[in-house]
Amino acid sequence: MALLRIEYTKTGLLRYLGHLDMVRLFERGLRRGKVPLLFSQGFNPHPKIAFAAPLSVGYSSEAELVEIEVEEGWDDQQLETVFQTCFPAEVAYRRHRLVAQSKSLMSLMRLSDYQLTWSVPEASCQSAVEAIEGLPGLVSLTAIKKSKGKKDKEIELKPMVHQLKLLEKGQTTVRKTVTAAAAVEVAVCELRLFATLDAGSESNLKPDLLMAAIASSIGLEGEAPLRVHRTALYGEGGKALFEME
Amino acid sequence: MIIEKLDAILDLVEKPARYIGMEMHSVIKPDNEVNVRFAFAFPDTYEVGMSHLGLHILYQLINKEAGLQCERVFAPWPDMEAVMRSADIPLYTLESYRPLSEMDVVGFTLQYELSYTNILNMLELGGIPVLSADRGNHDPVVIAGGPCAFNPEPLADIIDLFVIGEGEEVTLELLRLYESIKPNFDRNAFLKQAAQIEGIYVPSFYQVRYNEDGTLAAFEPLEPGVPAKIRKRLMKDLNQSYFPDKFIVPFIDTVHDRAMVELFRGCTRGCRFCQAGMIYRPIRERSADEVVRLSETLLSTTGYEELSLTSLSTLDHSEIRPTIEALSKLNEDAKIGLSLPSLRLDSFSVEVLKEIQKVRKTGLTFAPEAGSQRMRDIINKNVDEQDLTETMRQIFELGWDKVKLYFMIGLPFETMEDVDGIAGLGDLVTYVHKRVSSVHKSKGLSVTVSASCFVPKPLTPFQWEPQDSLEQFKEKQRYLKQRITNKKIKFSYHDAETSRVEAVFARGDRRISKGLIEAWKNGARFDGWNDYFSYERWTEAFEKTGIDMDFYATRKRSYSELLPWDHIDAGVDKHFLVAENENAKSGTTTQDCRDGCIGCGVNVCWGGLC
Ligand code: SF4
Ligand code: SF4
Repeated sequence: MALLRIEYTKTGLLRYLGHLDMVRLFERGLRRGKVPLLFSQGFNPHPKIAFAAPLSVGYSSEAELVEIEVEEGWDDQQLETVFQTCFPAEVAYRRHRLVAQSKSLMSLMRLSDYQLTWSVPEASCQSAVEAIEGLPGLVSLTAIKKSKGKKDKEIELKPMVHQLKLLEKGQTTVRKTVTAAAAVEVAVCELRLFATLDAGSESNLKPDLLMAAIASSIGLEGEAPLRVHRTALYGEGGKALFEME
Repeated sequence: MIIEKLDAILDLVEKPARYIGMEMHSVIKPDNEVNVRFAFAFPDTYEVGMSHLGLHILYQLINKEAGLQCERVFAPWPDMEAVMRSADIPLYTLESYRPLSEMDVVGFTLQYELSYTNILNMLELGGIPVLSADRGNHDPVVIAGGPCAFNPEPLADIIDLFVIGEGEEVTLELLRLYESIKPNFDRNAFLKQAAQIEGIYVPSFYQVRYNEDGTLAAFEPLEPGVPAKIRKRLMKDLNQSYFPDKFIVPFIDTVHDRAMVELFRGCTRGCRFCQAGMIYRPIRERSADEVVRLSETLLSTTGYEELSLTSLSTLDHSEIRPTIEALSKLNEDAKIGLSLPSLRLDSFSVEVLKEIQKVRKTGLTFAPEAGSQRMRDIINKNVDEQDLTETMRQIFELGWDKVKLYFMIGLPFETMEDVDGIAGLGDLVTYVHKRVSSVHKSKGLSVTVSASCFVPKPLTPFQWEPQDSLEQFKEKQRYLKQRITNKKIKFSYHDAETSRVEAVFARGDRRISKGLIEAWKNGARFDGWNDYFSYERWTEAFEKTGIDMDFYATRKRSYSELLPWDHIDAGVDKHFLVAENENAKSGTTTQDCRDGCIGCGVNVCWGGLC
């Protein structure tokens, strides 16, 4: 048995694939590429493919991680070609390495870096910038977390935010904002942000939730679309997850 | 550009990956290599449409031809429709992201009548006039095919031309014809030439006259040289016919998310209610070697983990045993599951199950179709209680404990006693389970008895028979609900109202398109989906347009009546259908025509095929 850890991207319109779609895509892509996958035992054998952390529908990424178990002795230098020929271009190979049997990626993961593009109505732009810059000074930032079948829960976000900074304030443009009911023209300014947030099975903060909390603190509700792009995954102590054993 | 607009709206809709295309083995040719753009339009969701074998066959067939590009389009779910309308995004294809109006030919597949409102909606969303008469030289040609095209009349005002029968050859002939006259395209000239191709029906070249009582008086060609009867197309030899070596592999879960290989076309059993069994005659098999070769190729190009052997009655293939043996051997290492769409009630089915489902004990589905022996003789479903008892005993001994039994209510000449037989068979199954003693027998047992409402279909021996009224259906459903008290049996039944609307369209004529358009204008779409079907909307639409639903659904026709689809020639003789209707009345069964020809007429048209 050999365990391969692979870093890959998820970009373009394929950011709309859900986690289960990605699982299927990998299973089938690797089968197409004749990679000798190992299977779980039992009634319903599944190839051994384990992802670090599901990426929300609509988020793109340049640094996703997955581990696959293949037969010992398979020439893993073929992996890049397998991606080129059997995967869509939007799910591209970045690098891989052989790892010793270790803890699962999911249990090792602690943090993620994100690039955020936040489109804020021009009128609220200044207060949005202030809210972002003022975040470190806040004692508390809470959000209501809704989960299916459970009661809404108020959660404290601050300890989960390790970094949120404004990279750039883009030009103001007039844009069509579409909802199911109507399309309206609004002037928006684009704020480019960088965030490091808790991510993983222990504690997880989705950029959506954070930005919605900030938006509502300045009186915006659902009028500020957010584009999320993940750039790095880390383990304990901020070590690059790709390198960890 | 549509693709840029998409980027801004897909966050707003459920299951956005339905609308992006880009799957493995989808085909996108550079613009300068495309002479004719054809959109394969499936009037239902992406998940339903992508499960349809015919789409995969035609898509790859057309795309392997130089100069032709086949694209795909599905019906957007109402949430997406709302967003598209507000953002001014026309319905587009998943390949070139062009609006439908920029296609040369748009081809709808007609799999079920309740998808017709989606056709209108897709045309309008795609920027194409809904009525054929309103389209000009710059609009695409709108064509349709599939099983419901065997009664094309309800869509005669909407579709420019119909393809009757199997589409492989004739679609290419049509697209090449289009290509040849595209430089000076003229709609009328195109339609005239197309009408000369066998299997093509151009409804605007014919006129219908009616009697005072509303029945048809005459159906006449208006154009010189168009055929009085349109004979269906069929592929004579499946081993020589095109079958794709790759399928588009969807990203999202679809209804049938697996590789499919077609074993044969047609069916020899002759069940009298079954339209597919009549219109796809005669039976044509693909050889075991070819099936195995195609399966290997498809699994390797798609990466699928499951293979389905599809046909109307898969286990009837004459080489089914060696085929399944070869495939299960082949698949053992690669952990590929084999699935069969239909099981018969006999010991052979059980043997096959043992072979292919060594480990998984999923639910099994059987279709006795009717509850009493009398009724099964009437519909010519040649299974008896003994078959059912034996098959159940064997599967219970092997450890299966979930069984689903399909029945129909409202079959011609049905009495309450026959309906009662449905409950009786359910009880019988639980009784058989009780008596089985086997180490593998599971303690739990769950039997689902499902009853759908019979819809009489054109070109079957029951094409003259009345459908039950809503009251009759409901009475029968009520009866069964009360009668089935057995705790191990779950009774489920279909909505009678949807079956009634389906029946109106199944045997409708040209006049009912007014009702269709009216219902669509009032918001009807996705009528096959319970959440969206509204019976009131349909009754109002028919009332407003002066259409009497009973005339189409519950009226008994005489053998001498001119039927709206009489100009469609499926190869099966009307005399044969009459004889089979008479046999039904007297409860006389007819043999499977594998055991000897029963003279349905198909071999007169295509001698040598059977
Ligand atoms: S077995 Fe009967 S119901 Fe099934 S396809 Fe054949 S004729 Fe139709
Ligand atoms: S012609 Fe005879 S053998 Fe051929 S399909 Fe008809 S009944 Fe069957």
